[in-house]
Amino acid sequence: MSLKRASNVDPIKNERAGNVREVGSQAIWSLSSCKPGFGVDQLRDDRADTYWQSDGQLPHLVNIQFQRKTTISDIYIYTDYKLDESYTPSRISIRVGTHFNDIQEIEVITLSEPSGWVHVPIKDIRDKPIRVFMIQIAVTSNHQNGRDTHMRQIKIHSPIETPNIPMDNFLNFSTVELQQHATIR
Amino acid sequence: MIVQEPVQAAIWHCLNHYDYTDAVFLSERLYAEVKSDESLFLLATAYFRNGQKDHAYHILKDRTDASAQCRYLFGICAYELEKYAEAEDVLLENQSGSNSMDNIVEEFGDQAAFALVLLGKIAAKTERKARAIDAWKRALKLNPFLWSSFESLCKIGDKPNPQNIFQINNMENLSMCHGNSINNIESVVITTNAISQDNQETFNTPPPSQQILTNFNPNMNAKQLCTPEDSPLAAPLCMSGIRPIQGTRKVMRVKPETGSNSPQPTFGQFFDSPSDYGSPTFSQPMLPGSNSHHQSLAKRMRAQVDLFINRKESIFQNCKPVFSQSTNVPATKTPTIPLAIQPCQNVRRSSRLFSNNYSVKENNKSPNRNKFATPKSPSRKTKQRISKCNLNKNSSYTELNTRNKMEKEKSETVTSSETEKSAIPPSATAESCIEQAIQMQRQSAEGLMCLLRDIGEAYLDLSQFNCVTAIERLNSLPPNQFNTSWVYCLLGLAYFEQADYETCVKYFSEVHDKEPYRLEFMDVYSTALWHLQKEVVLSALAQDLVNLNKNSPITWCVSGNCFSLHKEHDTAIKFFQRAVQVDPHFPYAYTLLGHEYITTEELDKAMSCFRNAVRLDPRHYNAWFGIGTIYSKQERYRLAEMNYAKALSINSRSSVILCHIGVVQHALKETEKALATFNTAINNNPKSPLCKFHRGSVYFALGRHAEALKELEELKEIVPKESLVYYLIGKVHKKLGNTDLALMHFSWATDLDPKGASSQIKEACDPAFGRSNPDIETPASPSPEEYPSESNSEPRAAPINYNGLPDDSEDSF
Repeated sequence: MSLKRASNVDPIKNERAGNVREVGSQAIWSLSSCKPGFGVDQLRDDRADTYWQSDGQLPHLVNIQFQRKTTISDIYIYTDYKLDESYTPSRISIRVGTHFNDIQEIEVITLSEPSGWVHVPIKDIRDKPIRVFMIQIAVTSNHQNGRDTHMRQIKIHSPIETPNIPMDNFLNFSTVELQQHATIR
Repeated sequence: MIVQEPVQAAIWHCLNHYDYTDAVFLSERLYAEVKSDESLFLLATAYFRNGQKDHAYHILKDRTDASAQCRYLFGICAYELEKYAEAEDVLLENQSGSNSMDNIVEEFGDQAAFALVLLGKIAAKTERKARAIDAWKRALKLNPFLWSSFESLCKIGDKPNPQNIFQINNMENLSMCHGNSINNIESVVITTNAISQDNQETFNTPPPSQQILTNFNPNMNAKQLCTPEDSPLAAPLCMSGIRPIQGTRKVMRVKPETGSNSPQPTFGQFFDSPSDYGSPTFSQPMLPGSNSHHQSLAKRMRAQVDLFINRKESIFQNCKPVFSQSTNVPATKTPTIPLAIQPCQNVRRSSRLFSNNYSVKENNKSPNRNKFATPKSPSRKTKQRISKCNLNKNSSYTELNTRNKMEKEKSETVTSSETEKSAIPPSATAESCIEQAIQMQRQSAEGLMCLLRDIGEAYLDLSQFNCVTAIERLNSLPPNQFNTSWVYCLLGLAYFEQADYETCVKYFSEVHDKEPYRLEFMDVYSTALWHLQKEVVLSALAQDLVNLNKNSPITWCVSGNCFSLHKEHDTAIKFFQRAVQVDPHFPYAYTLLGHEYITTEELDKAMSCFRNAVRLDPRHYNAWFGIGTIYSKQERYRLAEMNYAKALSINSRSSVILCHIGVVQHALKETEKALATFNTAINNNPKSPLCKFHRGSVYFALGRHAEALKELEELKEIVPKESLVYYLIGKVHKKLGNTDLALMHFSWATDLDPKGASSQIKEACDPAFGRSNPDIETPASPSPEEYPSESNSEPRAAPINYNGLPDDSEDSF
């Protein structure tokens, strides 16, 4: 359990750095409930001004199911207290597993008037990213005890794995002189 | 017939002036009146040129009695609409069941070469390689001007011999190459006549020539009337006799009935019409006025002859060995002189025509007579003696390419004042004039052939990936040809295939500066920039091209490369998909898309992309390489090796492919073979750092530490900033037990590259302290937020006193 204040994290910058990849597009997203016009598309459209609005009972769930067991290193959630007030989630539980009947909570975060990206690193006991088929992001309570929640963006990051082949480790050179000859395009 | 003629003339007139809407309308009305083959052909042509290929296709369909030209046009429409079977059927229609192309020449006459080219293209698209090669070779035999067939032959993997192909052996060839040449000669004479009347610059020809031409022979097909008018350049080109060559695309329109090549009747007609001459021989009226005129011209010509005396020697050596040996008839010596002088297009033409027949004067003074006596073998070196001069040194065929050349060359042509005349030679008779005109044509064609031979050799070398020879040959082209974008692009491509990206980018950037609207080869340029990681230049290029032309796959390939460099792979994929959509027959778009999918780990999609690329172009070695990479990522090394070998068989000089093969062989535990491969790679390309690096790794893996160290130390000199080199040296030292050296190198490596390889280095550094044989290779999957803390927590050895390391490494403390 950790208290999070949205700091100036920027998932895009990390993607550009080339170490991680956004893998949300490889997954199937579903929601426990949503208002028409405020669903998965708005959650995944790379725009901070559109949002998902739930329309049911707490906890509100976002289910992310992958086709392959995927390594996850971070989850980023964009929320904004100034715009959403009572719709802003205040406690989020992250559960992972293989399918709906086989998930476990691994992380609970508490937000306090967040405004921007919230970063949730995902680690197992040995401090390594986990490999899962399914992630479930559950909003268990909102600010000011609101019933429904707004979530504006979610991004899932997976590390770009260097393959275990010893030689291929060396295909990521640091200088241009060697990197330009590393491959044929 | 009588009804059709003026209407047809009007329609061709519209077509020649690109007014396709009117042409379509008029031909529709004509076709409604007279449903003949000719009018149908005219209608279909009008539709085709107006961009309504499908309309043309449908009206020409199912006409079993169609003439050859209709069938040819139908073939082209069907080909464009990708109906290859129908196109082939219609072209081979009267072949009595056989598939042979032997009767094409009789069938199609002048168009035979083009019909063969089309057959070749159809065969290539339907994967019948041998047939395609056969068709193209026949086409080239008929018409050696068709460079695209030669290119296609090279691209499909055949090795045509440019020396044999680009030859002009007999006159029949030449006439077939440019349709009705003799008719164009008349227009040559006519326009010169007109010009001398004007006494103006040659560019001012259209109105007077037009009047004169329209005066005579209304039975002639109007297209010939139009030939001088097509462009301001055309008139002077006419005089030079080049016009016929450019008229190849008009070959189709030659009507059989006006194909009579006998000069007499037409010249007779010419004489009849212009009433102000009043004399049967056209030369006479010129005499009084023009004598003084062309005497002054003669003086200027002589001056220029002296000027260019050095160059002529090499020109003759290089370009006209055939000519000088074959047709050294005295009458024909004179025409070569003006061909050789060539300061500017205008003067050349004028001088050629007037010095043509008239006099001995020019002959006596011409100093280059002796050049005929000693034709040396074309030696490349002589060309390098030529001082850099933007004047056209080669013969008149260069006018063909002037449109492609830099504007500066035109501006620097010597005699702008000399654009005045071409007085008609006073003493010529009609027949000798024709003969001489034909000779001129032959010479200019021969000059073009000479150039094509050179370029052909270079292109052949490039398509076989003999890049070094290709570059040499390209460099030895004459400067005016050399300074064209196309040659620069080819040079860039040659350096690209050698993986010398810096030089490649240099050439391409020049091309882009000079001709920002040029689209071809820009995809190669963008890939070179991608390799060099020059983000700014690549973004600028992408923006330029997007503003220029959104309908070309090359634009989207460049944009995709730009975003891929910025690591926005999803956007890059989107752009590459767009490229594929815009042109499904562009193999490189598929290859790039495949590489992007590999980066996003969508290997199955990547595989299908590469397969598509290979289907479109079996010699696209990048695609084979991509397939090999996929298998290598999936750890199916045997398959990877096979595919890399296939890529290597296409491009046998690429050291990158060899390196990858070596790596895969090492992974297959065939280390001896791997070493052999690396040795070959290094022999091919001694400066390649990648090969040395991999060879060093292999030595290390084999336990040959001393050799590994030697290799890596050399590498350190070549690429001092590469962190992985230090990392590897560190590992070697650690294995050897030199812990302090190992630590030192590890720390240097980390300093050089805090982010990238630090995971591996961190693992290596910790064990280096005390533990006994840790598994260094387990990669800790890095999470981004750890890095800032990592680099701060590793101040091992203060990297103070070592040479070779850049100063900025000290910032990373």
